Amino acid sequence: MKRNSLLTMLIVTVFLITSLAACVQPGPQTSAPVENATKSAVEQKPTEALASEPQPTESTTGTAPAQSPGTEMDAEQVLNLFMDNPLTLDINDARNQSEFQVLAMTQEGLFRVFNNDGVDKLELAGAESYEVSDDGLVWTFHIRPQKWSDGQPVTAQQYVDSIYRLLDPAKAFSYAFFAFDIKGAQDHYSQEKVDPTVQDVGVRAIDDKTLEITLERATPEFGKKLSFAVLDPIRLDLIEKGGETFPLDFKAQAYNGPFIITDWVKDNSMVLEKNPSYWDAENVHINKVNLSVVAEVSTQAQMFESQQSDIIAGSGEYINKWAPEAESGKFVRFQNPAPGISMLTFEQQTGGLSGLMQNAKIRKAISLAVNRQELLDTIYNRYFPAYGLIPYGISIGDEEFRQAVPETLKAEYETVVGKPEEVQKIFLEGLKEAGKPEDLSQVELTFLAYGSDAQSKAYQEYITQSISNTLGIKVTIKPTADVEAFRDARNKNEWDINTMGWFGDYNDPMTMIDMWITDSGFSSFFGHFSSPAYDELFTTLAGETDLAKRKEIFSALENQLISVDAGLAPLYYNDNSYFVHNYVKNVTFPSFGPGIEYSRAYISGK
Amino acid sequence: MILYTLKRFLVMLLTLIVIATLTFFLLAAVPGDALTTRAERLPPETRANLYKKYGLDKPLLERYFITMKSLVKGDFGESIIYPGQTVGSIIEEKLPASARLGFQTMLIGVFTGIFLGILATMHKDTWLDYLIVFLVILFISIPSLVFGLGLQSLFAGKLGWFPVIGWPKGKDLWFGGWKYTVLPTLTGAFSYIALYTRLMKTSMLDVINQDYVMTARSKGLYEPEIVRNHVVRNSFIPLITLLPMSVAMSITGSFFIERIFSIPGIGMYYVNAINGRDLTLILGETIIIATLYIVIIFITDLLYAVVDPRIRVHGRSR
Repeated sequence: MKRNSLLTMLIVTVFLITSLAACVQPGPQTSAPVENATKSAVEQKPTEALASEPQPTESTTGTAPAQSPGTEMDAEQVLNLFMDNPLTLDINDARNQSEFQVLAMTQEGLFRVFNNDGVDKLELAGAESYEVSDDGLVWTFHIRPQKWSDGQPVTAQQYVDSIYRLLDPAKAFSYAFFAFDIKGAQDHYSQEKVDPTVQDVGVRAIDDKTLEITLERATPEFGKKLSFAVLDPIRLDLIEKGGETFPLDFKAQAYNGPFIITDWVKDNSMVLEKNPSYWDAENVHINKVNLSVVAEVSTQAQMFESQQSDIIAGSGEYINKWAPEAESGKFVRFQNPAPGISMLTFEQQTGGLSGLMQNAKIRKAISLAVNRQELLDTIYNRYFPAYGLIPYGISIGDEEFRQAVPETLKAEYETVVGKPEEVQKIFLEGLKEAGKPEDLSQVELTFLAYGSDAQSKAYQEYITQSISNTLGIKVTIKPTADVEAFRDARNKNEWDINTMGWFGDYNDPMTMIDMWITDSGFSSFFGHFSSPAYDELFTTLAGETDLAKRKEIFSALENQLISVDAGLAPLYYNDNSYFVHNYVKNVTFPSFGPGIEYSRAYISGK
Repeated sequence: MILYTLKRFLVMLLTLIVIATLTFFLLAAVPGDALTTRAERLPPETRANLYKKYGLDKPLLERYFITMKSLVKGDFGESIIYPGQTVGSIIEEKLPASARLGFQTMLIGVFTGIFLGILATMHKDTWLDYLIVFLVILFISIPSLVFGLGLQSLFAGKLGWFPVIGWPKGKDLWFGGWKYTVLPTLTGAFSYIALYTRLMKTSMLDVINQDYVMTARSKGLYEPEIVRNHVVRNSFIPLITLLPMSVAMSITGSFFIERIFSIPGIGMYYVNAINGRDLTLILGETIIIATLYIVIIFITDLLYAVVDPRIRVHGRSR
C-alpha cells in the first residue's frame, strides 16, 4: 500500500510537469529579443520589409500642414492609436520607447521635440527662454508659468528634484547617465550612500522660476537631452504619498503635459484626455486618445484598414501592400530615418573561438566581404546600407551629420567590390600578422545566431554564406534557443562574429561614439573592442565647443573605428515607416523621444 | 470521507512543494537570468545594486530557502520583469479574463462536442455521421490561430458584427459585454468540440455494444430512453478523465486567442515570464495551475462515483 501511493504520487508529479510543458503554447518567436525598440543594445532588427529609397532625403512623403486649423476641424476629436504597454509611469525610471511615448504626451520638460521636415527640432516647452554662458558651462532656464493637473505650479525646484532623484545610485535608474554632463553628477552617482542634505550636483533653483545647470565641461549637445522624459520635473510630494504603488498608479500622478491619463488596463489599453491645465491647451485639439495594445500585427492591420485605428507603424508585407495605396492617396506615409544601426561585431577579448578576431586586417576583410545593398534587397527590402557609424537623422548643430560627412568604408568597398581576391589578400595578410598558417581553406569562424523566424534564418544564411564565399573560408552558424541563451553564449566569448544593433538616445553623434571607448561599460556587448588610438582621439572632444571642429573629430573617430581598426562591420541604418489616415493632421514623427508626437494634432474630414 | 479528503489535501501540499522545488532548480539551470535585459545598459555599480535588490546575488541554495519560506507564507513576491507589480496582483487582475474565456470555451466546446458525439453515434454511417466526422477532422487540423484570425477578419473586420478587439471590463467582467466574447470563445471552442465529439462517439459506441444495452432493447424499451438512461451516462467516464486537463488548459493555454483579440488575460504573462526567466512569476503561475489541476482531479474522482456507482471513491471497485 505504501509503495503504491508513493508511486502514484510520483506519477502524478511527473504527469503534472509534463502536461504543464505541453499546456503552455510557446509564444511566437519574434526576431527582436529586446522588447520593442528599446533605446539600448538590440540584438536583432524587426522583421519588416519595404521598398526603400536608396538615399534618404530630408523631406518625408507627407509634411506637416499649417499650424492653425481654423474651422476645418471635425466635431469629434478622438485619436485611436496602438501602444506598447509602458512598464512604469515614474519619470526618472523610464527605460523603453513604450514609456517615452506615453510620458512625452502626458509630461513635459524644458524642451519638446517635433520633426517637421525629416530633422528633429527642439521647441521651448517648460522653459520660456534660456541663456548659455560664454564658456558654455552655465545654462540658465526661465521656467514658464505652468500648472500641474492638480493645480500646483511647476517650479524650478521640481527640475532639481528630478535630477537628484535620477542620480540616486540606490535607485539604479537605467538612464541616470543622461545627467552625467552636469557638474558633480558622476561623482554623486558613484557614492556608496547619498547624503540627502549635501547638494553636490551642479543644478539649483535660483528661485521658483529660474533653473541653473552647471556642466562639467562645455557640452553643446547637452540641450538635446533636455527633451527626454527622465529629466522632466517631478513631484516628490506625490511620489512619497503614492509609496510602492506610485509608478503603476495613474491616479496617483500629476501631469503637466498636453494629456492626462484617465484609464489604464495594464498590457491592454490606456485612455488619455486633454489636460485643461496645460499651458498651450488652446493648441491641443485632440480631446481623447484611445491607446490599445494589440500584439498581433494582422489584427492591427485590420483595425487600421477599417479606420478603427488612425496611425500604424508599417511592418512586414504590409509595407509592400500599403506603400502603393499611400501613393494613390488612400492614406499618408511618413518614412523617416531611425537613428539606429545594425552591425557585425567581433569577439576581441580572446579572439573568439577561432582566435583570429583580434587582428584588424582579418576583421576588415570580413567587413569588406559583405555586399550591403544586396543584403537589404534580398532579405529586408528596407533600411539604408551603412558604411559608417552615424546613422541618418542625427544632426550636428543644424546639419545632418551623414549628409555632411562621407562614409569612410564606402570608397574602400567600391575598390574591392566584385574582386574577392583583393579581399582575400587582406585576410591573408591578417593571418600572417597573427602568426597563423596562410591557408584560407583551414579557417573556420563561428557566427553566433539568434532568431528562428523565417527572416532571421534567411539573414543568418545569407551573411555566413556571403562571407565564406567571398573569402573562401568556412563560417558556421551557432544557433541559440532564445535571447537569454544568446546572451549567455556571447558573454562566455564562445563565438567569432555576431550581429548587434544600437539605437541613439539623443540627437548628437556622441550617442553613437562614446560607447566604443575602452571601459565604457558597453564594450561587453560589442566584443570588447578597445583601441588606444580611438580613446586618444576621443579625449580631444572634451571641452571643444566649436561645432565644425567637433564634426571633424567625430568623422575621424568614425574613420578610426570602421576603416582603420575595423572594430565592427556596419550593415545598415534603420528606418521608420508610419502610415497615417488622411484625416489626421499635424502629427510628426521625431527620430528621438516619442515615436509619434501628436500633441498638436487634430482630426479633419473623418 | 473526511479522512480521505484530508489525506488528499496533504498529498496536494507535498506535490506543490515538490513542483515548486523542481521549477526553481530547473529555472536556475537554464542559461540567463531575469535581470539581464534591465541590467544590460547599467554601469557595474548599478548592476550590482539591481541584483542585490532582487536577492539574485545570493548563492543558489540560500535563494531556494528564501523563496520557499515566502511561498509557504503565501507571498509570491514581486515580478522581476514587471517591476512594481506583485505576482499576486498580476494574477488577480488578469486571471478573470482568462478564466471567463476558458470556462466559456469549455462549456461550449464540451457540450457541443457531447451533443455532436451522440448525434454521430445515433446516426452512425449516415450523411450526418460523415459530416460530423469531417468537421471534427477540420477542427483538429486547423490551428486555432488560423480560425481566430479568419473569424476576426470576416465577422469583425469585413462584416462588422463584432468588435475586432477588446474584452468586457469593470462590472461586465464576468457576465456582461457578450459581443466581445463571442469570437474568442468560438475560436477556442473548436478544438474542444473536435476532441469531445470524437471521445463521446467512441465511448458511446463501446457502451452500445455492451450486453446490458442489448438486453434493454430486447426488453422493448424506447430507444431514446435507453440512450438517455444507460448509454450516455456510462459513456461519460473517458470524458471525465480528460476534464481536468481541459479545464486547466483552457484557462492557461489561450495565449494565441488572447493575443489576437487583445484580451487582458494571463496567457501572455506566463509566456513572457518564461522568456524573461522571471522566477517569481513563473513559480506563482505554476503553483496556481498545479493547484487547479489537483483540485479538479479530486473533483473528477468524486464525479466518477456519481456516474458509475461501481466505482467507490476511496476503495477498489467491486
